[in-house]
Amino acid sequence: MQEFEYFEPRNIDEAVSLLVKYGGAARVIAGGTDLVLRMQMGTRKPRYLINIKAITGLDDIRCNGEIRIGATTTLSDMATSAELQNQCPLLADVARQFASITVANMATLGGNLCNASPAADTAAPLMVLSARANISGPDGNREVLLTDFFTGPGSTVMKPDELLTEIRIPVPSPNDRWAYIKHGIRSVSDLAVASVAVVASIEQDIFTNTQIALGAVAPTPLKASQVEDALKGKEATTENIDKAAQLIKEQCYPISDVRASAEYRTEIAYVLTRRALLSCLNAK
Amino acid sequence: MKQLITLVVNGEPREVLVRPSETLLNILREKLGMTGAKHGCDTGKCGSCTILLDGKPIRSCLALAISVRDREITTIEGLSWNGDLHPIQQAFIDSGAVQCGFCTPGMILFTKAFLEKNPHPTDDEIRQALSANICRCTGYIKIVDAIKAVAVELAKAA
Repeated sequence: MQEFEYFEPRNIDEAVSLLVKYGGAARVIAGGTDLVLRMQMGTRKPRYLINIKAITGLDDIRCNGEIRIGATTTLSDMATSAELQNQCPLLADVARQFASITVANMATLGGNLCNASPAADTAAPLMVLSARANISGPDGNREVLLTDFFTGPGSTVMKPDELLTEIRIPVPSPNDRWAYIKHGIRSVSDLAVASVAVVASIEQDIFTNTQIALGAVAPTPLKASQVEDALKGKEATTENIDKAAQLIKEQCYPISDVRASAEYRTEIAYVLTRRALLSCLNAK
Repeated sequence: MKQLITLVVNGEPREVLVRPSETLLNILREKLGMTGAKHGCDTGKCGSCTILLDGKPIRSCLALAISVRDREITTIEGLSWNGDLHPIQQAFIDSGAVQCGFCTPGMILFTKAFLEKNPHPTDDEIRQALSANICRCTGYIKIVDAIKAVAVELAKAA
């Protein structure tokens, strides 16, 4: 691993000052499960490493009118949070299916998002939950919808001098139905071949509002807007779901890699979308 | 540049000179002479480098030593007491859950943390939890047997 200078800022301002000073030559580290691996392989060679784990107040889950999850909250803290389980069971379920317990004890929500893998487990679920990223920079804070956060594989709207501090999620209505399916070759310790998250309101057998997003079927986590539009105002039936889910095949543009071919991913994107919607339809 | 840090390993503060790029696994094995944690895949997948950090299992191959200074680190070397094996270690031997032994330190430390959180696990819960650690010899059956046996024993002792 290439040598680097190491910093442990005590608060957000100190972290941002370091980012202003070192910008593109620096990387922020929290859990390290992704970054240390890449640095070992030599695909990331930061000259400055800024560890934000020591910043207090960045690893809390608070549910007070809205759900706020600090950027350095581990996935295992999310998986075991009673508050999250109560207020947003979809996200608790995502955290439980995330990697192995040992990795989830290290990996953080902020890291999962900022690494911006198209397969990032938390991305699609946060998109359907209308989550916002709170970002701190030299000129103060700004909020970005998760649906606008990703710009490509490994890249986000964040500038080199900015720090993701918190994810904010409106508390979902208890009447909303949800589904999350992570499809992979192994059930743990592997990236998803494809994943889908759905939040749906069905009133009097009509799809009134359906939010659908998929992971690993495009260069960024993908909002299935065509499928969502096709369902709007439609009767909640198996036929309508099947017809609408077909549209994801036109909207996704996956790659072929060691886990699956593009053709397989396109087909499974449809299958998973359909299956998740059916599971919402059949949920009480 | 090297920095002098303190790692609290098995209750004992150890001062060690590290480069920021050195992983906890390498420091434990190469600088502190504790070779219980194994160098397996080096990518956080196999679980053979598992240690406990403040009681929670983590992958020491993905942790920078400098980032865990002053925190409680438990390795397999710290589990026995005055020459007596920890009940989990004994159960692994009694059940024949050790073959080549490479995954064993990680398995045992993982089991310790797992049983503290879930003292009466079902077979399914054990298997689910063990997915964090790979064994290429036993087929896992003996390991699950060992964990079931020691869970009963520890519950009686508690």
